[in-house]
Amino acid sequence: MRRRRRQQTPATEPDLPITPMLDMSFQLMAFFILTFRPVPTEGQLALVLPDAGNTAPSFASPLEEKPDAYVATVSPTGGVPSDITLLKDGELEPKTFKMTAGNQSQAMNDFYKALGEIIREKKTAKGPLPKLEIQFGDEVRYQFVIKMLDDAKLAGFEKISPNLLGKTPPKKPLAP
Amino acid sequence: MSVPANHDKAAEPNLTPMLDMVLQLVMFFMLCANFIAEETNAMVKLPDASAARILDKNTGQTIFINLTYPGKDKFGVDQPKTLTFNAGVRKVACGNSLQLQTELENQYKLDETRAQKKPEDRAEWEAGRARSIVILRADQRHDYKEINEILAACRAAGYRDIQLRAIQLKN
Repeated sequence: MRRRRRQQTPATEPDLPITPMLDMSFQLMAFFILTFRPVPTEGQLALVLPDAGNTAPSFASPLEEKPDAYVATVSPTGGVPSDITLLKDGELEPKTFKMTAGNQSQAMNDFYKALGEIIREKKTAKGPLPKLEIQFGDEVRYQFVIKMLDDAKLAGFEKISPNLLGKTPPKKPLAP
Repeated sequence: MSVPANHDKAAEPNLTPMLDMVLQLVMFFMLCANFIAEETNAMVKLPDASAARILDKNTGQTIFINLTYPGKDKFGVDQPKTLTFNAGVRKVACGNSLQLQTELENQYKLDETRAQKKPEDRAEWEAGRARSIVILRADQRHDYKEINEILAACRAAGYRDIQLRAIQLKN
């Protein structure tokens, strides 16, 4: 029997065309670079909405010290900035931070310092942290609302409630 | 001087490492691409705040309320003011704050039903917790009057803890 001799073929190396793949990859990369827009980090400011009507009964012990309550107001009208007032619950005369077209940032800085001072005093006295309600007028820009809430948070207030100016029912005088 | 025998072979650059690197770059840009999340709205220009904190991932159900400002979009087309309620799979375009309040009330009932199933959740519910977290994404150009209408709707529905979303400023 005659043995067939296997014909030897030269070994061919597989040739993968890299160039078109690279072209396509560059196009993809160009697309993603052009459409790339880094997303700014979004965060939250936590707030507690004020009660709609009467305040709920407090379960705190009568021996426990009640936290102080402060009310700040701001209400620009027709683009004219108004003063910021800060009133402690039980006091009659509010602190006023004069705000004119030129010194808005100065008034905001003074307001921020006053809030920081309140928190510092409370921490020194080791009392409960005070609550703050900020009442805004109809025309206050939301950016300004956030700025005031931001300042209050940075100063150290934890319980902050936003409200519409004039919506808080007036307190009835105590019966003699 | 003798010349090597393989002098006629064409010099070819090795493209494979280059391709590897380009593919890695493509991968990076694909992963970092700005995919707009369903619950958020890119039309809302958020205000800035330094004290804004990132929401904990382990929080429960969240409700997103988006309030856009009327104006032109990036293609120059006029867009009206929109108010949308988004809680998981439920996404509703609300015409006004009353409609939003209805949606919030429905969600509040759902929260209550969910909390009644387990005794520990029931105790949390009684203590004023175990409710969905309401996140308000409102455009910075709005007046407070419009924001207050939304906050009033949340309060009327039973939600008192509200998170106002803002762009986090680096200190």
